[in-house]
Amino acid sequence: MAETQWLVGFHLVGAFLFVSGGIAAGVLHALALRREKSSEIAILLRLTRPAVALVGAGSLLTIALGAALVDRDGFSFGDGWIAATLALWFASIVLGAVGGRSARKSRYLAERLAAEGDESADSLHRALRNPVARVSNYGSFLCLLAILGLMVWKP
Amino acid sequence: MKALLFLHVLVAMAVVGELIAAAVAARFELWDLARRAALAALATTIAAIGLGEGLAADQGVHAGWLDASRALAGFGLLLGGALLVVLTGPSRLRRLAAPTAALLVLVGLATAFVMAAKPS
Repeated sequence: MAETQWLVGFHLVGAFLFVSGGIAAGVLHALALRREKSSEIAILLRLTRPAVALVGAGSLLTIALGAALVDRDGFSFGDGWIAATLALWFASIVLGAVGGRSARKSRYLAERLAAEGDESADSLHRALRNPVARVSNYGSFLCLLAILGLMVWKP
Repeated sequence: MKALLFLHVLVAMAVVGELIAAAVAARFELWDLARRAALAALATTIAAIGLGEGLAADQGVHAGWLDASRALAGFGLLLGGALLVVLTGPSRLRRLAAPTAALLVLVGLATAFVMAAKPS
């Protein structure tokens, strides 16, 4: 197998970890929104951590191998679709970090409330439904969809 | 055709995402969540295979790498996904659910690798 084939193969594996990890974290977070008890919310938010770790690993693998492929296949970082992809990658990371920071704060709050008596608390539900975090998370995912579209269509 | 490819890749990414959720839930013995994620992964696998076959028929591709990815998707993800649904149910073998789901995540990634690298 040629070196380019290895690079393309692992580039897509990285993309799968990036997007699939995001989907898994999103599903677990959405399920946490539907729970009432602080302890259940804390457990579900804790479960997102391995998925978020996969997102981090996938994002690095994708960008590193993607950059190597640009260099190798005669593309340029100045090409429109590649420049747009890079911009969307950075936007996805920044928006994901904003959403992730809010989720981490919600998890700390859920763990504290669970330790104090495990009752449903408005403050926790407000934190989980933080509009800035929700917009950031959806925005981050939309950036990933746009990247996938650019990779497929290469306009 | 490009739209079909986009959908195929996106649905396949959803399969791996649901398998990750199933693996994590089974690891922490949240069986209801693990079973729902396994069922979703199985249903999405069927959709991904259907889209892949549509794509292959559209492009008229006949290649070894395609047969290899068919085998990984059919015997690995489809049969493995069905096994995972059984394991996450009221089974005495539930302890095998988390490693099975983790193995299926690797099968999903291996399938993606074969589809992208297209080894001869």
